Amino acid sequence: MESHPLGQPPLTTPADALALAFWVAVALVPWTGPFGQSPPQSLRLVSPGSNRELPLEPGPISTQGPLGTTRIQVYEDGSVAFEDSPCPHQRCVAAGSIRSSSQALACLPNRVYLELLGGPVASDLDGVTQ
Amino acid sequence: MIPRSRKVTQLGLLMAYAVVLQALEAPLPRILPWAKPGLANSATLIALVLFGARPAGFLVFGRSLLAGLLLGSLFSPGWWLGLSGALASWVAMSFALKTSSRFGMVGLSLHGAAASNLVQLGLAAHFMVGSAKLWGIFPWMMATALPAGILVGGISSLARDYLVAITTRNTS
Repeated sequence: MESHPLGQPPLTTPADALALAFWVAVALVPWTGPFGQSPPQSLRLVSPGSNRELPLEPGPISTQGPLGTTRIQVYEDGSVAFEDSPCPHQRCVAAGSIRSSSQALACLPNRVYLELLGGPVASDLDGVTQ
Repeated sequence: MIPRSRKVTQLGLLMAYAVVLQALEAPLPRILPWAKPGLANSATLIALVLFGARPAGFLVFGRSLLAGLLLGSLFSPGWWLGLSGALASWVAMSFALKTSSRFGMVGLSLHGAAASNLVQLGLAAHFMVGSAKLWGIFPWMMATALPAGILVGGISSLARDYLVAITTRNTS
């Protein structure tokens, strides 16, 4: 390492490589885990004639479609799954559970769609204008 | 100790250098929306190593105000974001210089570039977009910010030596 004649920091030092390594590691943090994805706090449930945003509270949810009643279960760990559906192939039930924001499940024959949302449940008002 | 008149001259030159770089950089086409070299940050770094944290902070405010006036962006959301990034960079570089004398100009500049991007993205995610999902682009931002930080560190080292040389030639 060559020192600067005026006692100033030189162009580069071995510590600069550490600085670079540190910031590269920090830069990769959003890719290493769920960081960057806000945890789901609510779910959107869409069925014929209904589009609801519900808080993510453990328990069963039922909704009606053209084939009958679809039952959805919210589990204690925040995951959500189709528990039962009147559709012929039961693919929605076989799809299992979802737990991350923006993940979605659908039962197309019974026209039921649900997705997990990251933000808090919206109020009844979409907006206010004058 | 640096004579006061020389210090004022050097700070004035640095201010002009920073404003010109910031104004020239603004209309340049960008490969990616956030990718900006941040050349004006080299003036902050030079002021920091030559005069200390306080004059460098003064330079950050001064060049942000002047560039904002010149570009017509003063007090716009983008201007506040830019000022926040510049201040974050100043704080990070000052802290790195104060706590360790081991960093070179490139290392200090890397801290500044990374802190600037970190704070700007944090503010944009919180206040403008309202979603933490924006953090997903942070690795991509850093992929351009860190090489830019190395470049700015190199330019700062050259510009500092040149500034000192031209302002001491006839007085020492």
